[in-house]
Amino acid sequence: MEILRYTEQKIVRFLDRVSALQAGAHAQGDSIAALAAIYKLFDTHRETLKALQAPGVDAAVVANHCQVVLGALFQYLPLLGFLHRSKSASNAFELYGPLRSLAAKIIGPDARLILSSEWDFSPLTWVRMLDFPQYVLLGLPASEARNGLLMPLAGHEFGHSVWVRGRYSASLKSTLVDSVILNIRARIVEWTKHFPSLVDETKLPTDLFYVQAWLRAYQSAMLQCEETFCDILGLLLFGTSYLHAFAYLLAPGIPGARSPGYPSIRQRAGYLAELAGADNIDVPNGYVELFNDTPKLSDPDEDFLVSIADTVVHAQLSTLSTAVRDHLAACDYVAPTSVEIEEIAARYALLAPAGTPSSLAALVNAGWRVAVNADIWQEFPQVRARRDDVLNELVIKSAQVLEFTERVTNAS
Amino acid sequence: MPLSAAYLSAPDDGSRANLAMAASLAAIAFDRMARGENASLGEVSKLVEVLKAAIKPQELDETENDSSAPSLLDPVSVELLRRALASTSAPVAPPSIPELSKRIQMSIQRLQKAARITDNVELQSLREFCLVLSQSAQLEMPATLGGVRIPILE
Repeated sequence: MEILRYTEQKIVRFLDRVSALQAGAHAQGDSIAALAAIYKLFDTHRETLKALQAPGVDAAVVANHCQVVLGALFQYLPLLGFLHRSKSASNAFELYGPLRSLAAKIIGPDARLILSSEWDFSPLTWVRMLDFPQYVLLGLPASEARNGLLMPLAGHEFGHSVWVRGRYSASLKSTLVDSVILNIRARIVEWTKHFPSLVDETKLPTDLFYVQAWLRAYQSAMLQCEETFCDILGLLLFGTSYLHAFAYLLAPGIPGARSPGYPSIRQRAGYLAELAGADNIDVPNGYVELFNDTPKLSDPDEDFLVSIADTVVHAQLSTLSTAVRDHLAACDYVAPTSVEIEEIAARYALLAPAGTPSSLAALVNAGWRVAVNADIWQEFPQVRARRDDVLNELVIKSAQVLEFTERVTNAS
Repeated sequence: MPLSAAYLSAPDDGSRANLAMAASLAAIAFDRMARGENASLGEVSKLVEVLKAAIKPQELDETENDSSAPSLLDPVSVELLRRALASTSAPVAPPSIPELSKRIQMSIQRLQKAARITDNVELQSLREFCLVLSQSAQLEMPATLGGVRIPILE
């Protein structure tokens, strides 16, 4: 069975790469543990493959397991790449300590964080790593990885881990299914145009042909709920600075049709503005208008189902917001006060980092106040000429002050 | 009606994501037993746990008693298991969720009795069920064996 030998060989070579990565220097301690865990996992796969070499093993069993293991290789090689890039000097290692502290507070004390500068313009996270559920992998676009003002986007990415750990999808499942069916019934004439062979609405809940037809609306709604939950977490963790960071990186939107798994970019901005307003978080003027609306999906059936999902998600906004609030309250998270933010902004105006910041949110909100102040540093023309870089250095330096302060506090 | 990758890369709670691996390892265990060798039933137990987490048997009981309760099952898990059952047993006709729920429940019970099974035909049947389940899970969620990569915007 050559396929078995080849599969084992691929595992051996994969393990060689893990070993090579383990040998290098690591600024983030959690990546060392991650590499060790990945090695152990694939070593187990190697042992299982060896056992399959015994005579008489069913050929279909072997073929299937080789395919499953090959799938694992497809999954984990990009993760190895992530761990490789986490060692790059383009990462803002100064932010690692404070972000790890925040992750432990918001996600759980056992949370392990790995930051990486990625060759993908969208910040991203890896979640649902069933073999390593405690890990949070946070990737920032390489060209922006040292931009301290984008730290609020980590709040969104942490949200995915909170979502998974809190099993929010399980608690929403019934509500979303009910809501999808309810909304289809409310638009039953449209439904029958899209699905002319499925016209008996009494069969919507129980007939598998009907379920298969509306499954996409349910899945789209669930994914959108998760993304919205994460946006709300980012907003409530980082306040106005989340709105600024989101707009800086993503406005006015990216070309192409929207993904069904996300609310449209303008809708996301609308949700954020709506919730910020209700929470007394300042919303920049004309915020929602910064984002373009996205065209309809080209497939009319899919567009109809996603429109059902959009309605379902909008109805869950309050529930999602309450869930995030409850979670943050359970974590004893306290948002920085406006006075504290103003004090730090005043220090930035004097070209000094924060003195004793209480949180990342405080120092990054102060950073954005300076960033949007058109008159800042008029009296320092040499500084003003490179204001963005100077401000970023102030924010990053302040993060180091925060880490030092936290360490001293923890030690005492 | 194919499902797009955007949908497929989103398991509900992660419990289904390692189904492909768990089912494959259980198939290996049943294959060993069918060949008269000792096999650890730990892998079968793991599969049972994954299935229970994915479909919530207590909800199946409720569904059996109330065929009008549409929200108690995760439709993605149901579809995945329907495919596995359809390949290894008589098709469910008409395709109703309560009937399918009973069959899923029975399959879990069969797996739970694995330690006491000596009948080779039954062992081979369970091996086939696990194989098809593993293949079905791979078809449904190829991107979720190790983790899911989620960008902030796609």
